[in-house]
Amino acid sequence: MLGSLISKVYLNVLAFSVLLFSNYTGNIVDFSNLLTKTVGDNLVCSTYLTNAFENDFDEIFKSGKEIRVWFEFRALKDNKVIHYEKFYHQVKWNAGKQEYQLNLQEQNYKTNTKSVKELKYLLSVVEYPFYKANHNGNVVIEVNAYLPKIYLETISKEVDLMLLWKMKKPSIRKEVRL
Amino acid sequence: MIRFRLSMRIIVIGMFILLYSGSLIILNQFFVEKQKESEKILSKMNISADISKIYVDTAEDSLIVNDISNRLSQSMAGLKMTQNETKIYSSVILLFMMLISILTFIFIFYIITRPIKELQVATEKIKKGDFNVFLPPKGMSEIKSLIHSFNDMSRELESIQQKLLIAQKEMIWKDLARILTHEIKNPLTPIQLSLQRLEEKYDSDPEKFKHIFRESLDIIYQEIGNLQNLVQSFSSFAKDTPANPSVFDPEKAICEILKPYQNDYHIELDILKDKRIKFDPTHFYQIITNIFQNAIESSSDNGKVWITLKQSHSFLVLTIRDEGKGIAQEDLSRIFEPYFTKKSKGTGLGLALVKRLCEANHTGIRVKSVIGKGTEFEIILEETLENIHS
Repeated sequence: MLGSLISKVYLNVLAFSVLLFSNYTGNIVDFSNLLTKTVGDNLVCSTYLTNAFENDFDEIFKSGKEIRVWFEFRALKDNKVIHYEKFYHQVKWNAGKQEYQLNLQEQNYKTNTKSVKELKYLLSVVEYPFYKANHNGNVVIEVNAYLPKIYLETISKEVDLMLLWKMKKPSIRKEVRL
Repeated sequence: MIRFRLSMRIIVIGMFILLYSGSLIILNQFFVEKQKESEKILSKMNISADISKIYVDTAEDSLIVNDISNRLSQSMAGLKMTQNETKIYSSVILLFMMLISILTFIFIFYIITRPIKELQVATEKIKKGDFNVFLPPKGMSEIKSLIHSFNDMSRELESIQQKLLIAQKEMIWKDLARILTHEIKNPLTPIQLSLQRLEEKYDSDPEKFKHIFRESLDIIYQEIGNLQNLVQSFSSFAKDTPANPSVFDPEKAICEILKPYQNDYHIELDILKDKRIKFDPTHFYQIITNIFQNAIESSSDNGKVWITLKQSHSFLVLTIRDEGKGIAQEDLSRIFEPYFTKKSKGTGLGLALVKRLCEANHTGIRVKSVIGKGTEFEIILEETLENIHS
């Protein structure tokens, strides 16, 4: 509770000071509508990160480091977590081949692409199958995303990629009836 | 219309915040512009894509080129992130710096100005006549010294005020004693002379005694009457005079008051009829009589006295004007003070009583006078629409 409050204050102070004194644009990230459809015993939850990888991400992707976009999936019933899964979408630049290597963990899908546009699209789409057979009634589905800290050897420094999202974790919630 | 008066404190704090924030924002803007320039230069340095296009023969060379390209790309990413960090954290630091500086300034400013504010409040108290003010010395040494001086001054003023009060009381008592002595002595002398004359004639000339007896008794009665009048005027002044207002026609009241004087004095009347005022009738009688008495006493034998009652907006202005010797400008402000008189025969209580009665009836009184030309008293009466109760 206190942590959440401090985090809110910190984010607001950050946003206010950037608005007043900086030309930093960053990325204002959000999720598009959370869509759900039943496929067999699974509830496939799909959503899409908007404006997530625009400003400054081109240089970051090409740093040659493994960059993971982390997603957290939660299903809650009566405010109790009944299912939790953490997965990532990973990208790594191959300078020799001048292409991006992509790994979408929750879909168990690996691919390579030379197109930044395609890369950004694939990184943004989340499609998680939630096994619903053991549950019924009203369930709240919650998805959020965040970026990790990466260590850049050439400048001998760890940088927090969340800066590019103005330290704000995008999040989405939806109540569904199983 | 509501008028806002900004205090000096708010103006100074406002000016500081404005200037300080303004200068920081201008400075920050300068750095922002410089950042933009460096970003442009950096974008031109992004040549890793070009490096990868370099044709190499061997796998070993290819690895070296890839490594250079990777390191360059990573450095570019590092630079970008460092730039972003600088942009974000410098703005946060700037905001905090500004807030802390402003709060510190307000705090220090408050500490400095609080004793001055207290001094101002204390000065206001002194202005209102409360000299018993002591301020605990606090703040900077200059302020402490100022407070010490202020405390000394208030003590000094209090002591002077007490001395003045004592002197004033003494003066009042002396004046009162002088007036009483004079006023009592005046009738006592003719009484004493009359009695001596009666005593003398009773023994030496009984015939003559019979003749002067009635005459002497008249003198004695008259002087006793004067003494009673004197006591009465002191008594009237000493007792409380709460107003018991009632509605009446001022024209009728004035005519009634002046009836005994009409044959002996030259009185010019110009009085509005059918008007109504709410006033204590006894007080009204005393006020008019006192002023009129003064007017006829100061006028020469053929002197006129003008009495007018005129409308002025929702008020009625009653004027009593004489063409007597007038009152000196320096005495005008003192004529309503008790025991102040310039007449050889007078207690100095008449106009003081008039003033008090006017105040009791919430009525204003003004006086204008020119030496050698006469004096004019103006009484501002509020007209009422209430009906006269029989």
